[in-house]
Amino acid sequence: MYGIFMESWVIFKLYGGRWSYLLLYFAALIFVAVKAKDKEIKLLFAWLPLMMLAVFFFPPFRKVYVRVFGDGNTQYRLLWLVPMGMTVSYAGCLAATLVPMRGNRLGLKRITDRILIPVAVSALIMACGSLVYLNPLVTKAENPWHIPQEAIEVADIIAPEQTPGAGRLRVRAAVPSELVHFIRQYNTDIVLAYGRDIIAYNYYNEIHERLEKTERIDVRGLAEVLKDDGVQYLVLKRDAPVDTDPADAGFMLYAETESYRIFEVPGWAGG
Amino acid sequence: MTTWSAVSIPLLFFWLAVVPFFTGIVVTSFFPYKMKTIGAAWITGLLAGFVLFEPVALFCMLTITYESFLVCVRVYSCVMMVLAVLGAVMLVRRAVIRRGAPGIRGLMLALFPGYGEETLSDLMHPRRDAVRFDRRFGVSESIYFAAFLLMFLIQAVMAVRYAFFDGDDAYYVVVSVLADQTDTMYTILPYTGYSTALDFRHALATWTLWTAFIARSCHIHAAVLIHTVLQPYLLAMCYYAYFLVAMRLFRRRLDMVPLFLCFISICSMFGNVSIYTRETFFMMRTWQGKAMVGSFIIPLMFFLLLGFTRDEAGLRWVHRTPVEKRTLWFLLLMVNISASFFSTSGIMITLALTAAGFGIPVLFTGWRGDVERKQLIRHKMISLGAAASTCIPNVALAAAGWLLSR
Repeated sequence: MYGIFMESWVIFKLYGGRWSYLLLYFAALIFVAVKAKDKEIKLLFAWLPLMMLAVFFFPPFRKVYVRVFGDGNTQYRLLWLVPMGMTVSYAGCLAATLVPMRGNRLGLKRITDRILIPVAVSALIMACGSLVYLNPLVTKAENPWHIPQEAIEVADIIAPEQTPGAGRLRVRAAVPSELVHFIRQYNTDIVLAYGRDIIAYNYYNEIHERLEKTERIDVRGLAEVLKDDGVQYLVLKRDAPVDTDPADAGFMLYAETESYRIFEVPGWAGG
Repeated sequence: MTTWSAVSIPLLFFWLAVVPFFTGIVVTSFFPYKMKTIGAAWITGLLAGFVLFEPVALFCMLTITYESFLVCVRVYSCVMMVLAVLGAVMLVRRAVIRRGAPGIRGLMLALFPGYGEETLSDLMHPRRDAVRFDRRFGVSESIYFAAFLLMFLIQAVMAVRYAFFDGDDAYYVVVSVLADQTDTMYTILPYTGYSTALDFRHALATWTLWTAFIARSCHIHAAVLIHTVLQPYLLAMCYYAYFLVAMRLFRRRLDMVPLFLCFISICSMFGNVSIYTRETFFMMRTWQGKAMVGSFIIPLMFFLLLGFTRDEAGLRWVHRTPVEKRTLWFLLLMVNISASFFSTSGIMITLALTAAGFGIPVLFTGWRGDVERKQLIRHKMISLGAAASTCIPNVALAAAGWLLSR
């Protein structure tokens, strides 16, 4: 039971990231529980979230969750039922409404509840949080698809020409990991030798093993595997560590982009 | 590869604004007059669209082998067009038979009675909240609204100009692109392109297919729609849900609504403390179904929970009128079904929130002498039954998905 509790604890810690954000939330929760006048608001923003957290950390609940969903890694979504953003925002507004009127000093009250408190709360949220636009996964979009421009260039080169009324043509290609996420977001006529699941979940795929998980690519061995799998195109990074020139192994250079060379696989099944 | 066509923008406006709005006119015609506003029509029209898409898509998925998506697009288009035309007719009828003040203001009030000021009978109604119902905002509130709109604009521009990488797009975006390019629905593996049996685990959430429908109808590439067009639109949708929450939360201090929205906006931008938070999903993966559950469905649930517990005059839920009760349960039903439309995990989340959020106030409502004991018990049973019944479609879907996937 303790071990299961610790699993939930780890998920909670990972969810919270920086402790300051969680502390800010709990401070807001306590403030709402103490100062809110309406018991319905206390119920929704204080007692209900605490109940959800209690259930979240309850070991038998995790056992049931994993049994039902087969994957305990998504348990963090239950924490979405804890309205952290709404609670902190409501607490900030509540603080502004609680500024008392003192005599005729209306101007000071106005400054306090209209400027000082909102600015202070905003600064606190910014200090305790982390700006999403500084995340390294946020990059300038190169095109309306929001995928690397070179992925589009590679896809445009290897995609088959479709003839209306003639049935949909497809090609199979083996591409490096950094292109796997994007090629099919652009054009689904390109069938990939291995997909994102191989990379993300570390499944076994022979082509991926030969292409990405080796110090030096055995080009002739790779050619055999690609041919057997019916792959038509091989996309290699220009600086990919190969043991021999692909041309010597029968690959025909089909096209090039700035970072990639595109080869036709020798003797592929459809050829 | 075609990005968009010359008619994409007017078609996007048609399918994302006009059709939901007129559909919402039909839905809100059964609601209390205070809910007959432009915003309420838009949001309920969207919800109705999601709710109607789910059975159409599931039916096509399960019964049609080839070109199932093409049939789905045609059927759904017809259904939505019928509703939109009906809504337009209802709106014209309201304008024709209007009673009250002449001119533009009179026309607005006839079309959208929710913007009207209270009538004498409202003022005299024993359930009226006498404390404060003043919707006028001062200078500081206007400044906060402007600050919120500025932050929203920044987020919208960033959503269009910047790419937010997420590995799950290799699945969810590709499902939409596949549906648009091949007319298949969950029968091709998105990661590789090989054929597969129907993926029941994901197929119950037809949000990705709805985006493919919009892409097909507006002649725009599905990935462009999702990453560039939909993200600002969905941000607006989610912030409107928070606006509704704020209007309920601060019913006696409506001047706090703009400030609340500002704080929500700042929390959203600075909530990227981990990859798991709702705020991270909201800003970086807005177009994914699970992000919509966290940022659209959950605020709507809170809006409904607040509406259930907090009556206009501060009286308890037992005193709601039949129309108000029916409206609440109907909206809860639509929100619950929309949750499963967005993501299969939405089923679990809305079940938990419905059970806890509605069950606790109902069960722990004590007798205070304002109604007879028998009447209170009757109210409790009806409310619990109504709340439970709004979960039936989700439970049925989950059970069907579990059975079909075995």
